[in-house]
Amino acid sequence: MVVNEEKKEDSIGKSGGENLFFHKPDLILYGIVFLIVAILFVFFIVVPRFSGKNAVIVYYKNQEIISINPDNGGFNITDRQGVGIETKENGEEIVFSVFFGEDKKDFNVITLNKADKTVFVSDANCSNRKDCVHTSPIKDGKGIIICAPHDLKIVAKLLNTIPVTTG
Amino acid sequence: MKSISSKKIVLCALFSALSVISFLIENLFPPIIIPGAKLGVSNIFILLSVVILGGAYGYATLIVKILFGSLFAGNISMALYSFPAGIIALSVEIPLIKKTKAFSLLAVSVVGSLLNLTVQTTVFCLITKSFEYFSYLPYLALIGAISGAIVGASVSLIITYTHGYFNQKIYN
Repeated sequence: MVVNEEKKEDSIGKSGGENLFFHKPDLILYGIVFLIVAILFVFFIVVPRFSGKNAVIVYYKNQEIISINPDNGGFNITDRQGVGIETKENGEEIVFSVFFGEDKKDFNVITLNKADKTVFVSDANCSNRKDCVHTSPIKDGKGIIICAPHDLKIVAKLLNTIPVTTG
Repeated sequence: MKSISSKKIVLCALFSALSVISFLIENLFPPIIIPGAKLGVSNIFILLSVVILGGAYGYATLIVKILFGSLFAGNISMALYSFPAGIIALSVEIPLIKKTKAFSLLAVSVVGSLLNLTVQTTVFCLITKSFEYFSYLPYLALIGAISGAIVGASVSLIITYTHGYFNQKIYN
C-alpha cells in the first residue's frame, strides 16, 4: 500500500478549494440533465388528450386477449390458443384469471375495480419479485403493466369506439 | 509491455464480488414505485473500480456484475437490457472523470445513472415491442438522477476517507 502524503492537500473533490460534492462546471452537466428530464416530461406526460374513451387492453405475445372498459365495467375476451381465461365478479371487482403455457400452470390475475375504475395485477407466479403485481394500477387512461416472464402487457389506450360487451 | 499488478487484480475481484452481492440483495426488494427502478448500490463498486484501478478494470467489474448477477438472480434476459446500458454509461463516465477532472464524481454519476436507465428502457421497449413503457421514462429519469447522486456521493466519501490507502490511478 502506498500512502501518498503529498497528495493529502490535493484530495479528490477539494481541488481549488471546491466542495467535495460540487464543482462549478457541474452546472453544465446538471443543466443537460434538467433539460433532458424536462423534455421527457413534456413529451410523454404533458401531451394533451383531446378525444377518445378510456380502454384497457391486455396483450399476450402482442395479441389482444381482453379489452376492458373501466368506466362501465364492460369487457370483451378474445379466444387465443395457449391461453385460458376465467372471469369472476366479486361485488365491486371483476377478476380475470389468465392461464398460460402448455399445462396452463403459469398465471396472472388481473382485477378491475369498478368503483375506482382501475385495473391492476393482483397476483402472478412469474418470478420472486413479481414486478407486475407491484406496478401502479392503470387509471384515467394512463399507465402500462408488463409481465415480461409471461409476455403479458396491460396497456391503457384511448379509442374512438371500445368494442366491449359484458362477457 | 505494461505489467498487470496482482494487487489491482485482487482489488478488481473484490469490487466485482461486492458489486454482485449488492446487486443480488437489491434484487430481493420490490422496485421503487416503477418496475425497473432501483437504488443502484452495486454501481458504487463499479465507480470505485474506475476511480481507483482504471477504466479497463471498471469495465471488467461491470461485465462480471451483469453476467453473474443475472445468472444468480435467475433472470438471464436482464443481461440483455443491462449490458448495452452499462457499457454506454461507463463509456461516458470514464472520459468525464479521466479527461476532464473539472466535474465532481457526484455529477458524473448522475449523468451515468440517467444514461443507464434511458438506454435500458429503450432496449427493453425494443425487445418487448412495448413502446407504451416509454411513458415511465420521465419518472425513471428522476429516480435515476437521485440514485446516481447517492452513488456519486458515496464514492466521493469513500475516496476521501480512504485517501492514501489506495494508490489512486486516475486522480494522481
